[in-house]
Amino acid sequence: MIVTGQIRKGAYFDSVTLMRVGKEIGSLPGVIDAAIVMGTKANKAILNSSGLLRAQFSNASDTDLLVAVKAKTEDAGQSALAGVDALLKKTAKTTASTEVPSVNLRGALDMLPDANLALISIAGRYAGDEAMRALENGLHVMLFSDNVPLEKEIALKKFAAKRGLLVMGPDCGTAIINGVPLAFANVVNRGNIGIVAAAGTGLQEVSCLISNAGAGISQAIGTGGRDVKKEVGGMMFIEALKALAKDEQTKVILLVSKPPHPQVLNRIKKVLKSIRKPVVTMFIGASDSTLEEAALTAVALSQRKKSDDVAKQLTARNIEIQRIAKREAGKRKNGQKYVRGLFSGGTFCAEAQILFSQMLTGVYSNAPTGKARQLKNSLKSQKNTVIDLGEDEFTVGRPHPMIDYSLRNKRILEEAADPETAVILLDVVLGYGSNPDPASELACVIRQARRNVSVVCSITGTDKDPQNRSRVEAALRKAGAIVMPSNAAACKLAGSII
Amino acid sequence: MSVNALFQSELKVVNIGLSAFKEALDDAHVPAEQVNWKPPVDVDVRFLKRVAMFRPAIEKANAQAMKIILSGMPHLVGLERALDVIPGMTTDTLLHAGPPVTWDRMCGPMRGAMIGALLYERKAGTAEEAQQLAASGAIKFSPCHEHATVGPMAGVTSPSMPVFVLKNEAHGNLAYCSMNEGLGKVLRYGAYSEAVIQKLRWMEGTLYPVLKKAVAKLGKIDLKNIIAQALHMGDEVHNRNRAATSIFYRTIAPAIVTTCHDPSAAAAVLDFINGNDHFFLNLSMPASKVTLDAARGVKNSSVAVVMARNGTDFGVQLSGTGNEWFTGPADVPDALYFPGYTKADANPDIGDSAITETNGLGGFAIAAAPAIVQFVGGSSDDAINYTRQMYEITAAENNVYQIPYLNFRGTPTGIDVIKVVEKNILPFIDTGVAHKEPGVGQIGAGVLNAPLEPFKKAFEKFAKTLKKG
Amino acid sequence: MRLVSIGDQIEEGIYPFHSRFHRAVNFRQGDRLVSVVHEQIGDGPLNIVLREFDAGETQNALEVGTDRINFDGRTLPFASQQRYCSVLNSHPGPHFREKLVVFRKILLKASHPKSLTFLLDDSRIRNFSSGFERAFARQVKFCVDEIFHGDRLNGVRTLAGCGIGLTPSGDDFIAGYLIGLNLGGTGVPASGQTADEVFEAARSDNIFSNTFLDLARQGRLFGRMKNLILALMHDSERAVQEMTNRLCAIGGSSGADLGTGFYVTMCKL
Repeated sequence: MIVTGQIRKGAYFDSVTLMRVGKEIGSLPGVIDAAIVMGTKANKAILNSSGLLRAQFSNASDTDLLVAVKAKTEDAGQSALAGVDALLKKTAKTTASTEVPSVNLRGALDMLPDANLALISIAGRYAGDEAMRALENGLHVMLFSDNVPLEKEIALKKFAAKRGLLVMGPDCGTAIINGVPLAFANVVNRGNIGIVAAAGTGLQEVSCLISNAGAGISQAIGTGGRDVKKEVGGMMFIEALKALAKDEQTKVILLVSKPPHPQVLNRIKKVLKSIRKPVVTMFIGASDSTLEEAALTAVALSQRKKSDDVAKQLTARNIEIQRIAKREAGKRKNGQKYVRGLFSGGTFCAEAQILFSQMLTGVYSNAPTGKARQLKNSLKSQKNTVIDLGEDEFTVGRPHPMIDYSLRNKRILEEAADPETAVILLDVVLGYGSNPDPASELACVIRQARRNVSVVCSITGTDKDPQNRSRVEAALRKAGAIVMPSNAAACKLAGSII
Repeated sequence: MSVNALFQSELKVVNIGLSAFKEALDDAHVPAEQVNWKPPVDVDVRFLKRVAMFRPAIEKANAQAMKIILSGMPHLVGLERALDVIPGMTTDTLLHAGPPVTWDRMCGPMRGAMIGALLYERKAGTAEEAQQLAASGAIKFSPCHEHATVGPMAGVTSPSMPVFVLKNEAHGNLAYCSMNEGLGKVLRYGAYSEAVIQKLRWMEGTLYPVLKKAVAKLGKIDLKNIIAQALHMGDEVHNRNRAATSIFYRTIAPAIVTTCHDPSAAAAVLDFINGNDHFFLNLSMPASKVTLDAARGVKNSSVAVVMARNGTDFGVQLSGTGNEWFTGPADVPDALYFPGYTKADANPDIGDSAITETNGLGGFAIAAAPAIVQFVGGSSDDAINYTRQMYEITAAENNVYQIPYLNFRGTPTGIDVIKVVEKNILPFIDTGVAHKEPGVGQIGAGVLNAPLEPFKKAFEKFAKTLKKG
Repeated sequence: MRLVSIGDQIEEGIYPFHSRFHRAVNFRQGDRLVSVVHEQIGDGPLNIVLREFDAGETQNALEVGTDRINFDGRTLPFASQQRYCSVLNSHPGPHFREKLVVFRKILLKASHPKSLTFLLDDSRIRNFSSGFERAFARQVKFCVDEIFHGDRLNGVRTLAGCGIGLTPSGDDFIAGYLIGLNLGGTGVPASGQTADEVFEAARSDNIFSNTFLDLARQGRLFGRMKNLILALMHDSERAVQEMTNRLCAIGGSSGADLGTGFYVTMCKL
């Protein structure tokens, strides 16, 4: 066993670096113990008592750096010393990954001191406190968790607004910040359209439609559905809107939400007055327009085209829809007269009801919106029925239907066996967090169902998503589904077949 | 950082919760740090505040309690009949493992052991008679722990049974434990067949006098020393006692040979000890008990002095809360079951043997015993992690019991209920598993964390009883 | 770059270059250092805090005038209200003790595992694993015992310079001790003589340590410490929590070591 060492004159390093380097040297092969310290008298005494003192160290002064290595062999000691330079230069905390994962925010911030966003998905009753801690540390927050008490949400948002921080959520399923998809989000093009959304799947749909139409997203900020209710007062919706108004990369702003509380709407309108950029608003159910129209309008504006072009484009598409509808209707027998929509996205289910209310009579849902009526039993369809499978009654004790297809697959086969069903309408949501292989989940049931009924579906996603939209589309078509580019188009087609 | 500044910066994320989100961020090459979040124990904030206020006093008290525990010197000083030495023992008292439990709430193995004990004591002629007697109220059931005694599994100790007598030479207190019967059909697992009773009688008639004389010849045997050595030899002295039993055998054998004048009796006794890898368990347990009992009643100390299970409830006692039991339902261990048995056959956790964990041994020292980790279905890394985690909830590191693999670091010793609650890390126990029907015996071995409820209750009561000065 | 604050101990003059770090450039003022720093470092009696700080590369001297400074070839004006006041003119409020308990708790939670907080919680000594670290911890424990229960100045002398880093942990602890001494637990400063003796005993060749020990001796506080003490005196537990977290964010273990010295002193006095 030998002790080697060196003195480095006038070398200043902070203690974090020295601790790290000391640890790394200590873990080199053949090294028994190591220390890297300033050459104070006190430190020399400690080196002495731990058997690391070298005679040469007596010349070192308080501000010199001492490197001492106890090793099994001379060679091991020398090669450890030779590595010190490289280790001192390496500023990144490369040792972090081998450490035990942090158990709290503080630990994580030690590892990533300049973190700027906390993504929180723990149980709702704890999530609020964790979010507050993140805000106190100056982090923006995306709160994926639901069941956060309303008072907590208000407290968080008030605190955040004062500090100029964002709180996305609670119950915010998706966001895209600086091009990074967070939680349940799609990989979309970057561009100049900024989105604020209080509706999760709505945000996914418009961001994908925009991306698929060749435009892109600057930022997509989710606020959670409760933000635009009276109690929260649209605090974050407005903060986000203001931030996009100031953001230079954002040329067009798109707002997506279920209709806000009138007071909140007034507040939003007030802010809108001062914004010089074009703003497209889409309050689902407040008008006849669809998410698709809103997305395409934003695209047209971002490319300095007129919004009339969108109308032309959609009219042309409607003609195509009528043609397909006629073909499909011809295949149906007399008794087949109803549409059955089985949705994994709540926003899609709502949009379907709005569209069907103009085309069909007798629309029922487990989550009725507009003129649709409450379904007596969510497990049994009546006339034209649209089901939101993401409602609590279906999700307790099982993963969300965007992840776990088993419940919907079973329902598809049941509906297909119903002699009154003419069309089954589905949404397929891709992106991070969703089922990694929806095509093979669905293909088999679609193949079976289409022997009796038409199967119409929309796919929310892009080719850059891990599932790859084109591949999923091809597989579903092969199975016999009619794939439409948007939920709105799929709904229109389904309604037209009836 | 304002929202607009965020838009201009590289996104760096702390992900608290679902690790899938972190993986997605890794895919996108976004710097991200995962927080493996654990919910805190749900206790009243007032209690947390109160404990925080008293922190200096508590730390002082715990330091004192740990000083007593770490300075304990458990010695085997003799063998006697239970009735003659155990405080409070009477001719119609039966002691049992764990916190107090009435006949109607006793689990199968416990009832079986009670029946066996009544047959052994000749208070009943048949199992039916024994059951009637047990249910009649004429027999007093009392926890071993309330009589300076411990017993493995059912832990049933009856007046005529011979017991080891241990003395804490540092503090003068005594503790008692019956002798280990070996494996197979045994009383501690609730068996009460004729063969079981016969073996108990043999232990009383042959094993007891032979060992008694041998121990008397040696004067006293330093158990702390044996345990410390055994830890270096792959035991944790709860689920594995092979090394400790061997050392004990080497210590006692010459004394048996010189003091026992009947060679066949000496041979039988030596064979019995040699053939029972768990013989030392009934010494490691009272050694822990006699060590911890000395630290009872340190005002404001949050250190646990008892963890014990009766097959129905799990009970805890703290140094600073007197003789009060804090209980909650006992869990069924996650175990590796012997062929033919499943978790459905298993009885909830049972026995006073968790006293070893309370004393920094057993599950707390499992990193010293890689061989048994395999036995309970884990890897040696698991064992090291189990032990490492226990340092988070203990008040000290042992000065004598060490883990070779952890560079001879002292075992985590002295469970601090405050740390248990604040960190939501529960004590780890490795244990044998009994069949839920009496008399079937051991059906597996496994590991489990103590249930939260007793610790939560203990914490709350502790917070309430904190006193100035 | 814009000047955010300038410490009240910085006088007019020309100060030669001493050293440069990622977020600070240091200049010599006699045997102390004046530092031009990034906002994240924060206010201090000898700090000049700049927004959009850039450490630059030149080794030119720093010039400080009555209403402007010249740093790295740039002139940055400041107004008198930008002078950071480093003294504390306040006394502990009624709940000081209770908040000290909160401070301790957060300090334990937020501090670097190898900081001197093991003095507050024995179990943390486990974080000191190598032979050197263990010897270090033993030595610190001995010195601190000596300071409070034995020969104070001998304790300080042996503790000074203990530990790794630019400002060894021992020096940070002593600075905390000095600040605590000055506060006297009751708000009445201890005799200046005691503080002077301690400073003299701790003095070394390390100009970084000397600078902040000298400031601590005079009761001159840098921003994070001042805010923490104010929170302990008058503010909510939450504020104590936040300020403690900020203190612990200072260079590796430095903030926590300082906090530990301060806490131990406030408890003992």
